[in-house]
Amino acid sequence: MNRISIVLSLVILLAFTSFGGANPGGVGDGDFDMQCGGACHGDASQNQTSPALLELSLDGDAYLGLPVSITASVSGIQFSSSDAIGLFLLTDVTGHSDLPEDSGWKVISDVNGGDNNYVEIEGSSFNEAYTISWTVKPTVLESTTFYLSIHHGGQNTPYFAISSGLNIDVLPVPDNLPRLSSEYSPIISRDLGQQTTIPVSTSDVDELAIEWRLIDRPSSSINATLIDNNSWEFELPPALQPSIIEWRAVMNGDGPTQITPWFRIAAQEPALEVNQLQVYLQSFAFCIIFLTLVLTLQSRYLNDQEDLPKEIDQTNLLPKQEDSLDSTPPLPEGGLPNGWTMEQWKWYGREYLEDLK
Amino acid sequence: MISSATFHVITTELVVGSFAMAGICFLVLAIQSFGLFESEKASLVTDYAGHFALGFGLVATPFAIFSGISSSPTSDLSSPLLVNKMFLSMIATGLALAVLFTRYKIGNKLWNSKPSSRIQTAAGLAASGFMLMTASAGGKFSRGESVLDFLNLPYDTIFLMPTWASVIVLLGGVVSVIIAVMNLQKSSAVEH
Repeated sequence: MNRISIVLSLVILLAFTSFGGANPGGVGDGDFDMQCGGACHGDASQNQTSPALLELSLDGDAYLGLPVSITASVSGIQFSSSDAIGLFLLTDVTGHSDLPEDSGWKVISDVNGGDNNYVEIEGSSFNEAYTISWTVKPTVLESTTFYLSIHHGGQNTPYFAISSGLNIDVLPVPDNLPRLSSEYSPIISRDLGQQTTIPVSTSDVDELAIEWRLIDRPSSSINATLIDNNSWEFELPPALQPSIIEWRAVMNGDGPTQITPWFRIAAQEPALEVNQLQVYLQSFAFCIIFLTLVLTLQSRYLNDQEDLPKEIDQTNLLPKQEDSLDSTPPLPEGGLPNGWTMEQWKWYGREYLEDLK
Repeated sequence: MISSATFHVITTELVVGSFAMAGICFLVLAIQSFGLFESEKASLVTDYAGHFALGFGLVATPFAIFSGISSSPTSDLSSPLLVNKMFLSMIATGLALAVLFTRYKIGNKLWNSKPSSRIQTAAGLAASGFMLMTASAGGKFSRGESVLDFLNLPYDTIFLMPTWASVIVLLGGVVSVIIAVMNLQKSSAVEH
């Protein structure tokens, strides 16, 4: 009966679980292969094909060592409720060695203000289309095929899809082309309330103007200050709450005017500055406190019971007496009386001996 | 080679699984210590399984802590949530160590005393609870949500003592542990 009730309880508990393999909360942005090593969706084999329409496009030409934007368009997702959408920028569809870095491309910034090939954005059943972009930089003079992959949920089912390939030919940099220097890497994050000076390194640039904007707001234009040969800087206003500012450079020189992709800089809570040794010491102190607490309580209660064995010893006398009562009395001279069995002697022999006395 | 983030996932799954298993066993033992349910077989099984699971989880805990620190964005404790995770996991470690040491020293006779068995099961349950809270904080850090969100735990607030205070507590704790261990050894010798 007990076993049946346990099995029934387990079946009921299992019945209340969701059979979906999706990870509704997402896994956070990061550098992930196509299936996140199984982490984005619990089990890739449970994936259903997403009805989403995926498209990648290149904004401008890709020159060796210069940043360029790749824009992803997503539409046609059918949600049962609000959910996260995971988007991957990949260079292969085999599920391994498929990061842009594996093909010689560096992700400079993503839509969330990081520099990851996998980003999560908020999805909604009310939205029909999403457009996001990555700013990337080729480091090798080769053609690369990019793919956009999507993970999302809906009706307790994990969905997956991958776009057709976008082939990008990397071109050598023409002479005198106004451009950012190939080693330049923009700042992508800053602390809240911090007036930020952004340095810019260029080549063949005579005049540098900066456009900056908050997401989905009109842009403002400022001129960058020339610091040194090919080194410029400009200032962005401090952010009072977590937000992302986009900026791009308009570069004039002997060659045709060039405009960089939009770079993103995220303002976030400043990282905690704490003495690591202090934290570790306090952690060990907590460990010792709780260790001491339990051991002290146990030793106290066990010591309180030190008298118990003595009591047990006294009570142990009783069984001994019973044993002696129960023990078989010595047989009289001549052995068992006639007609007695040993069993009878064991129980009544003592009385027989008393009568003889 | 695998990244520290992947190694952290492996080790935390080992730790959380083991502590959850131990928690269930200590819950059954706690129920039995209050006389709500009695079964010699269940008592025996949960006693051994609970302590073994706790021991296994304890072995995996340092790997989870170190891989967790190295896989954090700045490879150190750069967020209040990570500091709280460190505190919670070390509290769970202290409780688990105490539970295992007591069980090892006193043996089966531990269950003959009601107060001792209740302290043992409460400490075991608390160790499991603190470790599950640590895991929950990890989910909050990486995914922004956790199963314990409904409790509105103040993960963004840290209680940090001055270094000298931690050193004093640590030294006092070490002395207290030595005294408690000696007392326990005396008790176990008397019991035996």
